[in-house]
Amino acid sequence: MKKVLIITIIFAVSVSFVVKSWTHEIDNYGTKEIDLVNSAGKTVCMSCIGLSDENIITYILNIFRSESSNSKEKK
Amino acid sequence: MNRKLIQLLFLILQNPFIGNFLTGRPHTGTTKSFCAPGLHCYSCPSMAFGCPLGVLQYVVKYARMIPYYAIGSIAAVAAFFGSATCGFVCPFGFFQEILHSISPWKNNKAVLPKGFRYIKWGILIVFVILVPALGVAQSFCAWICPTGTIFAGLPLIGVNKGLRASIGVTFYWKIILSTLIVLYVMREKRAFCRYLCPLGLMLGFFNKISLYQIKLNKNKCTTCKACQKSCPMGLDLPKEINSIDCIKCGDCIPSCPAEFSAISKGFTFSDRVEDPKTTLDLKHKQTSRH
Repeated sequence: MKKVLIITIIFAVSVSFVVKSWTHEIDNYGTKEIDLVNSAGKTVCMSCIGLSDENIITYILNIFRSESSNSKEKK
Repeated sequence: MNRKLIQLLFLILQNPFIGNFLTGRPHTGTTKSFCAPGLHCYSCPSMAFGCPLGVLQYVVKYARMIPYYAIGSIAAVAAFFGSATCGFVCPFGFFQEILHSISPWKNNKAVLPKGFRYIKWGILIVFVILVPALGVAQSFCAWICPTGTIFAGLPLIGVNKGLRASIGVTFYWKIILSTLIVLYVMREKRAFCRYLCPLGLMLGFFNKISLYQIKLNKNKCTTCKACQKSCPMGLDLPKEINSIDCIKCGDCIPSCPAEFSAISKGFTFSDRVEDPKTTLDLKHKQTSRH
């Protein structure tokens, strides 16, 4: 009985999470979480296939570049 | 029904749009709003469903919020099946098993030390949650996931000239990593699931309480370890039955000597979930006293 109760609670919480993603607006423009999910699914995800510029080397270089440009501006 | 046949049926069910490999464009219909509980890529042209890990990272990175949809989808399935979907539904799991079975250099005894299994904990915490939460990248998909490279990146680049212009450091990194993973999977069965898969880990959190269980009859088990030889995850069976790393595939069941048949599978509503580790330790102590 305890096990059935635990699983029922987990399932109910899971379903409420899914319902929330379909109904709850996450910004002032009326965007819902499911809209993000749909927009992700309806385009070629460049990150997923490794074609996005999300590489760690570029990220670190950008940090250094922004820091050096900031220090030049200060000078 | 044979597990390989079930895996094949789920592969076909999840990938009905084979023709999209020729056009180089993924399916964008309403089914993409639903997450299938297995590791596959959003951008795979034939895939009908969304990837739970892709959704999770996308929402965390762009909306900086708790990914209710991904968590809800994963937990709803896992409450009933635990990580059994890894053993029956996951396309990449099936791919690994096929690859290993035809490999000329497979080694069924190859198992890395147990500590390597904690790599996937690190991947889940750092690459699936932390890095996307910092807004840096969808880092698991972008830097690690081999399914995106093998089933989406390579086929899409093959037919879509526009995408070839975007090839950069990340793509070459993913090609190298995916090649290494494929080569090692050919040696060690389901090596990606064993050491790297964060989705399997998330589903595995529910293994002890899910309705679907691999059941061990402690009175019949002689701890002969015959089941251990058939485990695709290289677990220390029968102690690790239904553990967080178990994929509940049930391959251990037919390997149990016929006169014992100590292992079975099925849905159980019983509160008493026996911990094989505890029961077997007790049994070992009792027999050693005699």
